[in-house]
Amino acid sequence: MTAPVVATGLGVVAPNGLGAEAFWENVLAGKTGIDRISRFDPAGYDVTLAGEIKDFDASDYIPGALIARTDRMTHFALAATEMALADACARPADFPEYEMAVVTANSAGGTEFGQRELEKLQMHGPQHVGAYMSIAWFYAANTGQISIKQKMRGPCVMISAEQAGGLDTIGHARRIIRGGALLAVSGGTDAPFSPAGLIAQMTTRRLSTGTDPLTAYRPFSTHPGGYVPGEGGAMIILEDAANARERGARQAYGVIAGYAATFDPPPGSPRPPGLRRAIELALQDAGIAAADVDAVLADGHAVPELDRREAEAIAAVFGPLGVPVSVPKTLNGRMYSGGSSLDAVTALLMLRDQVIPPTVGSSDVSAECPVDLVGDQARAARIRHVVVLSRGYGGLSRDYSCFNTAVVISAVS
Amino acid sequence: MAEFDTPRLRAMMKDCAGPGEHPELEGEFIDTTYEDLGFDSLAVLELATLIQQDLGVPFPDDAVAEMVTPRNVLDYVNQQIAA
Repeated sequence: MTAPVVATGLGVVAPNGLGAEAFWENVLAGKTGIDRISRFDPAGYDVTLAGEIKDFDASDYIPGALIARTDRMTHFALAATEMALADACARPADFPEYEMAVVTANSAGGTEFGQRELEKLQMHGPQHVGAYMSIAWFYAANTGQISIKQKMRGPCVMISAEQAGGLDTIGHARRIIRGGALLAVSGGTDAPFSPAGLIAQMTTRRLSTGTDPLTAYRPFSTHPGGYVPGEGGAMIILEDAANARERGARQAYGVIAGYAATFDPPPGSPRPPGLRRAIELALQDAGIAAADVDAVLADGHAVPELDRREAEAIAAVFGPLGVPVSVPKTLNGRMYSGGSSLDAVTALLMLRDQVIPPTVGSSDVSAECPVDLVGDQARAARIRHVVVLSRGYGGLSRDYSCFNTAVVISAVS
Repeated sequence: MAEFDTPRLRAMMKDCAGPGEHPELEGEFIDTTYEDLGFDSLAVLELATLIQQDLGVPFPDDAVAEMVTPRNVLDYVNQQIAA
Protein backbone atom coordinates (compact mmCIF):
# COMPACT_ATOMS: atom_id res chain seq x y z
CA MET A 1 0.00 0.00 0.00
CA THR A 2 1.46 3.37 -0.93
CA ALA A 3 -1.25 5.88 0.05
CA PRO A 4 0.49 8.97 1.44
CA VAL A 5 0.34 9.33 5.20
CA VAL A 6 0.58 12.93 6.36
CA ALA A 7 1.21 14.79 9.60
CA THR A 8 -1.79 16.99 10.40
CA GLY A 9 -1.07 18.19 13.94
CA LEU A 10 1.97 18.91 16.10
CA GLY A 11 2.37 19.09 19.88
CA VAL A 12 5.67 20.07 21.47
CA VAL A 13 7.00 20.18 25.02
CA ALA A 14 10.59 21.39 24.65
CA PRO A 15 13.12 23.01 26.99
CA ASN A 16 13.24 26.02 24.67
CA GLY A 17 9.53 26.27 24.01
CA LEU A 18 6.10 24.95 24.92
CA GLY A 19 4.03 24.46 21.78
CA ALA A 20 5.32 24.00 18.23
CA GLU A 21 5.39 27.67 17.30
CA ALA A 22 7.23 28.87 20.44
CA PHE A 23 9.72 26.03 20.03
CA TRP A 24 10.32 26.75 16.35
CA GLU A 25 10.73 30.48 16.84
CA ASN A 26 13.38 29.86 19.50
CA VAL A 27 15.15 27.23 17.41
CA LEU A 28 15.46 29.57 14.43
CA ALA A 29 16.75 32.31 16.76
CA GLY A 30 19.31 29.92 18.26
CA LYS A 31 17.80 30.31 21.72
CA THR A 32 18.86 27.58 24.11
CA GLY A 33 16.76 25.74 26.68
CA ILE A 34 19.84 24.27 28.38
CA ASP A 35 20.76 25.48 31.84
CA ARG A 36 22.06 24.24 35.17
CA ILE A 37 19.92 21.37 36.48
CA SER A 38 17.29 22.74 38.85
CA ARG A 39 15.03 19.79 39.66
CA PHE A 40 17.56 18.84 42.34
CA ASP A 41 20.94 20.28 43.32
CA PRO A 42 23.56 18.88 40.92
CA ALA A 43 26.51 19.88 43.09
CA GLY A 44 28.63 16.80 43.50
CA TYR A 45 27.62 15.34 40.13
CA ASP A 46 29.97 15.59 37.15
CA VAL A 47 27.01 16.43 34.94
CA THR A 48 25.39 19.73 35.89
CA LEU A 49 23.66 20.89 32.70
CA ALA A 50 20.39 19.70 31.18
CA GLY A 51 17.57 20.82 28.94
CA GLU A 52 14.74 21.02 31.44
CA ILE A 53 11.15 21.97 30.66
CA LYS A 54 10.35 25.30 32.24
CA ASP A 55 7.03 26.92 33.13
CA PHE A 56 5.11 23.74 32.46
CA ASP A 57 1.91 23.45 34.47
CA ALA A 58 0.46 19.98 34.01
CA SER A 59 -2.89 21.17 35.35
CA ASP A 60 -3.33 23.19 32.15
CA TYR A 61 -3.84 19.86 30.39
CA ILE A 62 -4.69 17.19 32.98
CA PRO A 63 -7.00 16.86 36.05
CA GLY A 64 -5.26 16.86 39.47
CA ALA A 65 -6.04 13.23 40.31
CA LEU A 66 -4.38 12.04 37.12
CA ILE A 67 -1.34 14.26 37.72
CA ALA A 68 -0.76 12.65 41.12
CA ARG A 69 -0.95 9.14 39.67
CA THR A 70 1.38 9.59 36.73
CA ASP A 71 4.98 10.54 36.14
CA ARG A 72 6.24 13.73 34.51
CA MET A 73 6.93 11.82 31.27
CA THR A 74 3.19 11.09 31.09
CA HIS A 75 2.27 14.69 31.85
CA PHE A 76 4.39 15.70 28.86
CA ALA A 77 2.85 13.00 26.67
CA LEU A 78 -0.72 13.96 27.60
CA ALA A 79 -0.04 17.65 27.10
CA ALA A 80 1.69 17.19 23.73
CA THR A 81 -1.20 14.99 22.57
CA GLU A 82 -3.77 17.65 23.50
CA MET A 83 -1.76 20.26 21.61
CA ALA A 84 -1.37 18.04 18.55
CA LEU A 85 -5.06 17.13 18.39
CA ALA A 86 -6.03 20.79 18.72
CA ASP A 87 -3.57 21.71 15.96
CA ALA A 88 -5.02 18.99 13.74
CA CYS A 89 -8.56 20.17 14.56
CA ALA A 90 -9.28 16.52 15.32
CA ARG A 91 -11.72 15.67 18.09
CA PRO A 92 -11.51 12.01 19.08
CA ALA A 93 -15.27 11.97 19.74
CA ASP A 94 -15.76 12.48 15.98
CA PHE A 95 -13.87 9.28 15.08
CA PRO A 96 -14.92 5.65 15.63
CA GLU A 97 -13.08 4.61 18.80
CA TYR A 98 -11.40 1.52 17.31
CA GLU A 99 -10.04 3.50 14.37
CA MET A 100 -7.70 5.64 16.45
CA ALA A 101 -4.22 4.34 17.31
CA VAL A 102 -1.62 5.44 19.85
CA VAL A 103 2.07 4.68 19.23
CA THR A 104 4.53 6.21 21.67
CA ALA A 105 8.16 5.74 22.60
CA ASN A 106 9.92 6.16 25.91
CA SER A 107 13.30 5.18 27.25
CA ALA A 108 13.74 6.20 30.90
CA GLY A 109 10.39 5.24 32.36
CA GLY A 110 8.73 7.16 35.18
CA THR A 111 11.94 8.35 36.78
CA GLU A 112 10.75 10.95 39.29
CA PHE A 113 7.74 8.93 40.42
CA GLY A 114 10.06 5.96 40.79
CA GLN A 115 12.61 7.98 42.75
CA ARG A 116 9.96 9.07 45.28
CA GLU A 117 8.57 5.59 45.73
CA LEU A 118 12.01 3.97 45.97
CA GLU A 119 12.94 6.47 48.67
CA LYS A 120 9.79 5.53 50.60
CA LEU A 121 10.63 1.87 50.13
CA GLN A 122 14.14 2.26 51.45
CA MET A 123 13.35 4.63 54.30
CA HIS A 124 10.00 3.29 55.49
CA GLY A 125 9.48 -0.16 54.00
CA PRO A 126 7.38 -1.82 51.31
CA GLN A 127 4.02 -0.97 52.89
CA HIS A 128 4.70 2.68 52.12
CA VAL A 129 5.08 2.27 48.38
CA GLY A 130 2.01 3.64 46.63
CA ALA A 131 -0.16 1.40 44.49
CA TYR A 132 0.21 3.65 41.45
CA MET A 133 3.92 2.94 41.28
CA SER A 134 2.86 -0.29 39.58
CA ILE A 135 1.83 1.61 36.46
CA ALA A 136 3.39 5.06 36.71
CA TRP A 137 7.00 4.01 36.13
CA PHE A 138 6.30 1.71 33.21
CA TYR A 139 7.29 2.90 29.71
CA ALA A 140 3.92 2.01 28.26
CA ALA A 141 2.11 4.31 30.69
CA ASN A 142 2.25 7.08 28.12
CA THR A 143 0.45 5.06 25.44
CA GLY A 144 -1.97 3.70 28.02
CA GLN A 145 -2.91 7.02 29.58
CA ILE A 146 -3.29 8.74 26.18
CA SER A 147 -5.51 5.90 25.01
CA ILE A 148 -7.67 6.08 28.16
CA LYS A 149 -7.96 9.85 28.26
CA GLN A 150 -8.70 10.26 24.56
CA LYS A 151 -10.77 7.05 24.33
CA MET A 152 -8.64 5.78 21.46
CA ARG A 153 -9.24 2.04 21.37
CA GLY A 154 -7.43 1.08 18.15
CA PRO A 155 -3.92 -0.40 18.02
CA CYS A 156 -1.89 0.80 21.01
CA VAL A 157 1.84 0.32 20.89
CA MET A 158 4.88 1.31 22.91
CA ILE A 159 8.38 1.25 21.43
CA SER A 160 11.56 1.23 23.50
CA ALA A 161 14.66 1.87 21.36
CA GLU A 162 16.19 4.73 23.33
CA GLN A 163 16.38 7.80 21.12
CA ALA A 164 15.58 5.91 17.91
CA GLY A 165 12.19 4.99 19.35
CA GLY A 166 10.67 8.38 18.65
CA LEU A 167 11.21 7.94 14.91
CA ASP A 168 10.16 4.29 15.06
CA THR A 169 6.73 5.38 16.33
CA ILE A 170 6.27 7.40 13.15
CA GLY A 171 7.15 4.45 10.92
CA HIS A 172 4.93 2.15 12.91
CA ALA A 173 2.00 4.59 13.04
CA ARG A 174 2.29 5.02 9.27
CA ARG A 175 1.96 1.26 8.88
CA ILE A 176 -1.15 1.29 11.08
CA ILE A 177 -2.75 4.10 9.05
CA ARG A 178 -2.01 2.22 5.82
CA GLY A 179 -3.71 -0.73 7.46
CA GLY A 180 -6.91 1.30 7.69
CA ALA A 181 -6.85 3.24 10.96
CA LEU A 182 -8.22 6.76 10.61
CA LEU A 183 -5.91 8.59 13.00
CA ALA A 184 -2.75 7.86 14.94
CA VAL A 185 -1.00 9.70 17.73
CA SER A 186 2.74 9.10 17.34
CA GLY A 187 5.82 10.39 19.11
CA GLY A 188 7.74 10.16 22.35
CA THR A 189 8.43 11.91 25.61
CA ASP A 190 11.04 11.31 28.27
CA ALA A 191 11.61 12.84 31.72
CA PRO A 192 14.81 11.28 33.02
CA PHE A 193 15.83 13.81 35.68
CA SER A 194 15.89 12.60 39.20
CA PRO A 195 19.14 11.94 41.11
CA ALA A 196 18.94 8.22 40.35
CA GLY A 197 17.86 8.95 36.79
CA LEU A 198 20.89 11.15 36.17
CA ILE A 199 23.26 8.56 37.61
CA ALA A 200 21.76 5.93 35.32
CA GLN A 201 22.44 8.15 32.31
CA MET A 202 25.97 8.87 33.49
CA THR A 203 26.88 5.18 33.41
CA THR A 204 26.95 5.37 29.61
CA ARG A 205 29.89 7.81 29.90
CA ARG A 206 28.42 9.75 27.00
CA LEU A 207 27.19 12.81 28.90
CA SER A 208 28.89 16.17 28.74
CA THR A 209 30.48 17.56 31.90
CA GLY A 210 30.60 21.01 30.31
CA THR A 211 29.31 24.02 32.22
CA ASP A 212 28.56 26.49 29.39
CA PRO A 213 25.07 25.86 27.95
CA LEU A 214 26.11 27.19 24.55
CA THR A 215 29.16 24.99 24.03
CA ALA A 216 28.78 21.92 26.26
CA TYR A 217 27.08 19.95 23.48
CA ARG A 218 29.02 20.25 20.23
CA PRO A 219 28.50 17.33 17.83
CA PHE A 220 30.95 16.79 14.95
CA SER A 221 33.43 19.24 16.47
CA THR A 222 37.12 18.50 16.96
CA HIS A 223 36.73 17.80 20.68
CA PRO A 224 33.14 16.77 21.30
CA GLY A 225 32.67 16.20 25.00
CA GLY A 226 29.51 14.13 24.99
CA TYR A 227 25.90 15.28 24.92
CA VAL A 228 23.82 17.35 27.30
CA PRO A 229 20.69 15.39 28.25
CA GLY A 230 17.21 16.84 27.87
CA GLU A 231 13.59 16.10 28.75
CA GLY A 232 10.28 16.59 26.94
CA GLY A 233 9.22 15.51 23.49
CA ALA A 234 6.59 15.78 20.81
CA MET A 235 3.43 14.14 19.51
CA ILE A 236 2.44 14.13 15.85
CA ILE A 237 -1.02 13.29 14.49
CA LEU A 238 -0.82 11.09 11.40
CA GLU A 239 -3.66 10.45 8.97
CA ASP A 240 -4.21 9.15 5.47
CA ALA A 241 -3.93 12.20 3.17
CA ALA A 242 -7.29 11.62 1.50
CA ASN A 243 -9.12 11.11 4.79
CA ALA A 244 -7.53 14.22 6.24
CA ARG A 245 -8.67 16.31 3.26
CA GLU A 246 -12.16 14.86 3.39
CA ARG A 247 -12.71 15.72 7.06
CA GLY A 248 -11.36 19.24 6.56
CA ALA A 249 -8.05 18.98 8.43
CA ARG A 250 -6.54 22.43 8.79
CA GLN A 251 -3.18 21.48 7.30
CA ALA A 252 -0.92 18.67 6.20
CA TYR A 253 2.61 19.61 7.23
CA GLY A 254 4.31 16.87 5.23
CA VAL A 255 4.34 13.26 4.10
CA ILE A 256 6.02 10.43 5.99
CA ALA A 257 7.62 9.24 2.77
CA GLY A 258 10.22 6.75 3.96
CA TYR A 259 11.16 4.79 7.05
CA ALA A 260 13.78 2.19 7.91
CA ALA A 261 15.32 0.79 11.08
CA THR A 262 18.42 -1.34 11.45
CA PHE A 263 20.47 -2.81 14.28
CA ASP A 264 24.21 -2.46 14.58
CA PRO A 265 26.17 -5.72 14.56
CA PRO A 266 27.79 -6.61 17.90
CA PRO A 267 31.18 -5.10 18.80
CA GLY A 268 33.97 -7.10 17.14
CA SER A 269 31.82 -8.11 14.16
CA PRO A 270 33.30 -7.59 10.69
CA ARG A 271 29.96 -6.19 9.50
CA PRO A 272 29.66 -2.41 9.29
CA PRO A 273 27.43 -0.28 11.56
CA GLY A 274 23.82 -0.14 10.39
CA LEU A 275 23.16 3.60 9.98
CA ARG A 276 24.15 3.77 6.33
CA ARG A 277 21.82 0.92 5.45
CA ALA A 278 18.98 2.56 7.38
CA ILE A 279 19.42 5.74 5.32
CA GLU A 280 19.57 3.82 2.03
CA LEU A 281 16.51 1.74 2.86
CA ALA A 282 14.55 4.80 3.91
CA LEU A 283 15.39 6.56 0.63
CA GLN A 284 14.37 3.44 -1.27
CA ASP A 285 11.12 3.32 0.67
CA ALA A 286 10.48 6.96 -0.22
CA GLY A 287 11.31 6.31 -3.88
CA ILE A 288 13.83 9.13 -4.01
CA ALA A 289 17.55 9.42 -4.74
CA ALA A 290 20.18 10.80 -2.40
CA ALA A 291 20.49 13.85 -4.67
CA ASP A 292 16.82 14.68 -3.99
CA VAL A 293 17.44 15.22 -0.28
CA ASP A 294 17.72 18.88 0.75
CA ALA A 295 18.79 18.52 4.37
CA VAL A 296 19.67 15.97 7.01
CA LEU A 297 18.85 16.32 10.70
CA ALA A 298 21.60 14.24 12.24
CA ASP A 299 21.59 12.20 15.41
CA GLY A 300 24.59 14.20 16.64
CA HIS A 301 25.83 12.21 19.62
CA ALA A 302 28.95 14.33 20.26
CA VAL A 303 30.92 11.21 21.19
CA PRO A 304 34.00 11.05 18.89
CA GLU A 305 33.59 7.52 17.55
CA LEU A 306 29.84 7.88 17.10
CA ASP A 307 30.22 11.26 15.35
CA ARG A 308 32.79 9.74 13.03
CA ARG A 309 30.53 6.83 12.19
CA GLU A 310 27.55 9.05 11.54
CA ALA A 311 29.55 11.41 9.32
CA GLU A 312 30.88 8.38 7.47
CA ALA A 313 27.39 7.01 6.86
CA ILE A 314 26.09 10.39 5.66
CA ALA A 315 29.11 10.87 3.37
CA ALA A 316 28.75 7.35 1.98
CA VAL A 317 25.16 8.04 0.92
CA PHE A 318 25.25 11.73 -0.02
CA GLY A 319 28.96 12.26 -0.78
CA PRO A 320 31.36 14.19 1.48
CA LEU A 321 29.83 17.61 2.23
CA GLY A 322 27.09 16.45 -0.10
CA VAL A 323 24.04 17.68 1.82
CA PRO A 324 23.43 20.36 4.49
CA VAL A 325 23.38 18.77 7.93
CA SER A 326 22.04 20.28 11.13
CA VAL A 327 21.70 19.22 14.77
CA PRO A 328 19.20 21.67 16.28
CA LYS A 329 19.05 19.47 19.37
CA THR A 330 22.12 21.26 20.77
CA LEU A 331 19.61 23.88 21.95
CA ASN A 332 17.57 21.40 23.96
CA GLY A 333 19.88 18.56 24.77
CA ARG A 334 19.49 15.00 23.68
CA MET A 335 15.92 14.31 24.76
CA TYR A 336 15.94 10.53 24.28
CA SER A 337 12.73 9.28 22.69
CA GLY A 338 11.39 12.83 22.84
CA GLY A 339 14.36 14.10 20.87
CA SER A 340 13.81 12.15 17.68
CA SER A 341 10.09 13.01 17.69
CA LEU A 342 11.05 16.64 18.11
CA ASP A 343 13.42 16.30 15.15
CA ALA A 344 10.53 14.97 13.07
CA VAL A 345 8.46 18.04 14.05
CA THR A 346 11.45 20.18 13.10
CA ALA A 347 11.61 18.53 9.66
CA LEU A 348 7.90 19.23 9.10
CA LEU A 349 8.34 22.90 10.03
CA MET A 350 11.40 23.10 7.75
CA LEU A 351 9.12 22.07 4.89
CA ARG A 352 6.55 24.65 5.83
CA ASP A 353 8.97 27.56 6.21
CA GLN A 354 11.73 26.53 3.77
CA VAL A 355 14.57 27.01 6.23
CA ILE A 356 17.23 24.81 7.86
CA PRO A 357 17.63 25.43 11.62
CA PRO A 358 21.06 26.21 13.08
CA THR A 359 23.49 24.00 14.95
CA VAL A 360 24.69 26.12 17.85
CA GLY A 361 27.99 25.33 19.55
CA SER A 362 29.91 23.20 17.03
CA SER A 363 31.99 25.95 15.51
CA ASP A 364 35.05 23.85 14.69
CA VAL A 365 33.92 20.89 12.61
CA SER A 366 36.33 17.98 12.83
CA ALA A 367 38.27 16.96 9.73
CA GLU A 368 37.22 13.40 10.49
CA CYS A 369 33.58 14.39 9.99
CA PRO A 370 33.12 15.63 6.41
CA VAL A 371 29.64 17.05 6.95
CA ASP A 372 28.33 20.39 5.70
CA LEU A 373 27.21 21.49 9.15
CA VAL A 374 24.88 24.48 8.99
CA GLY A 375 26.47 26.52 11.76
CA ASP A 376 24.86 28.90 14.21
CA GLN A 377 22.63 30.78 11.77
CA ALA A 378 19.47 29.36 10.20
CA ARG A 379 19.86 28.82 6.46
CA ALA A 380 17.04 29.58 3.99
CA ALA A 381 16.83 26.88 1.35
CA ARG A 382 14.49 25.12 -1.03
CA ILE A 383 13.32 22.11 0.96
CA ARG A 384 11.28 19.24 -0.48
CA HIS A 385 12.78 16.22 1.29
CA VAL A 386 14.38 16.01 4.75
CA VAL A 387 16.08 12.94 6.19
CA VAL A 388 15.92 12.60 9.97
CA LEU A 389 18.37 10.26 11.71
CA SER A 390 18.33 8.80 15.17
CA ARG A 391 20.42 6.25 17.01
CA GLY A 392 19.55 4.51 20.24
CA TYR A 393 21.93 3.29 22.92
CA GLY A 394 21.82 -0.45 23.28
CA GLY A 395 23.82 -0.86 26.47
CA LEU A 396 26.90 -2.69 25.24
CA SER A 397 29.60 -0.05 25.14
CA ARG A 398 30.20 3.66 24.94
CA ASP A 399 31.21 3.54 21.27
CA TYR A 400 28.51 1.25 20.08
CA SER A 401 25.00 2.29 19.18
CA CYS A 402 22.59 -0.56 18.49
CA PHE A 403 19.42 1.06 17.11
CA ASN A 404 19.50 3.13 13.89
CA THR A 405 16.42 4.73 12.41
CA ALA A 406 16.03 6.95 9.37
CA VAL A 407 12.87 8.72 8.27
CA VAL A 408 12.28 10.67 5.05
CA ILE A 409 9.79 13.52 5.46
CA SER A 410 8.66 15.15 2.23
CA ALA A 411 6.59 18.08 1.07
CA VAL A 412 2.94 17.39 0.29
CA SER A 413 2.56 17.44 -3.48
CA MET B 1 -9.17 2.60 69.29
CA ALA B 2 -12.11 4.86 68.42
CA GLU B 3 -14.63 3.69 65.85
CA PHE B 4 -13.62 4.33 62.27
CA ASP B 5 -16.33 6.73 61.12
CA THR B 6 -17.53 8.25 57.87
CA PRO B 7 -15.80 11.63 58.22
CA ARG B 8 -12.45 9.87 58.79
CA LEU B 9 -13.02 7.62 55.80
CA ARG B 10 -14.06 10.59 53.67
CA ALA B 11 -10.83 12.43 54.56
CA MET B 12 -8.71 9.41 53.66
CA MET B 13 -10.57 8.87 50.41
CA LYS B 14 -10.01 12.50 49.48
CA ASP B 15 -6.28 11.97 50.08
CA CYS B 16 -6.32 9.02 47.72
CA ALA B 17 -8.38 10.83 45.11
CA GLY B 18 -5.59 13.36 44.66
CA PRO B 19 -5.58 17.14 44.62
CA GLY B 20 -8.60 19.21 43.63
CA GLU B 21 -12.28 19.26 44.56
CA HIS B 22 -14.17 16.03 45.10
CA PRO B 23 -17.90 16.82 45.05
CA GLU B 24 -18.72 13.13 44.69
CA LEU B 25 -17.42 12.58 48.24
CA GLU B 26 -19.67 15.17 49.84
CA GLY B 27 -23.15 14.21 51.04
CA GLU B 28 -24.24 10.57 50.81
CA PHE B 29 -21.51 8.47 49.29
CA ILE B 30 -20.92 5.44 51.49
CA ASP B 31 -23.27 3.17 49.55
CA THR B 32 -22.11 4.33 46.11
CA THR B 33 -19.76 1.81 44.53
CA TYR B 34 -16.10 2.74 44.26
CA GLU B 35 -16.45 2.31 40.52
CA ASP B 36 -19.17 4.99 40.42
CA LEU B 37 -17.06 7.22 42.65
CA GLY B 38 -14.21 7.06 40.10
CA PHE B 39 -11.95 4.93 42.30
CA ASP B 40 -10.22 2.31 40.16
CA SER B 41 -8.72 -0.83 41.71
CA LEU B 42 -5.40 0.91 42.35
CA ALA B 43 -7.11 3.79 44.17
CA VAL B 44 -8.86 1.31 46.47
CA LEU B 45 -5.52 -0.39 47.05
CA GLU B 46 -4.00 3.01 47.94
CA LEU B 47 -6.80 3.54 50.45
CA ALA B 48 -6.21 0.13 52.00
CA THR B 49 -2.49 0.88 52.28
CA LEU B 50 -3.21 4.23 53.95
CA ILE B 51 -5.58 2.59 56.46
CA GLN B 52 -2.95 -0.02 57.18
CA GLN B 53 -0.26 2.64 57.74
CA ASP B 54 -2.32 5.14 59.73
CA LEU B 55 -4.50 2.80 61.80
CA GLY B 56 -2.30 -0.28 61.94
CA VAL B 57 -5.25 -2.34 60.68
CA PRO B 58 -4.14 -5.28 58.52
CA PHE B 59 -5.67 -5.09 55.04
CA PRO B 60 -4.54 -8.05 52.91
CA ASP B 61 -5.20 -8.18 49.17
CA ASP B 62 -8.08 -10.63 49.37
CA ALA B 63 -9.86 -8.29 51.81
CA VAL B 64 -9.25 -5.37 49.45
CA ALA B 65 -10.88 -7.35 46.66
CA GLU B 66 -14.16 -7.46 48.66
CA MET B 67 -14.41 -3.67 49.02
CA VAL B 68 -17.15 -2.63 46.61
CA THR B 69 -18.49 0.39 48.52
CA PRO B 70 -17.12 2.71 51.24
CA ARG B 71 -19.57 1.07 53.67
CA ASN B 72 -17.72 -2.23 53.09
CA VAL B 73 -14.52 -0.47 54.20
CA LEU B 74 -16.16 1.04 57.31
CA ASP B 75 -17.56 -2.36 58.31
CA TYR B 76 -14.28 -4.18 57.66
CA VAL B 77 -12.11 -1.73 59.57
CA ASN B 78 -14.48 -1.56 62.55
CA GLN B 79 -14.61 -5.36 62.67
CA GLN B 80 -10.80 -5.46 62.75
CA ILE B 81 -10.66 -2.84 65.49
CA ALA B 82 -13.20 -4.70 67.60
CA ALA B 83 -11.31 -7.99 67.25
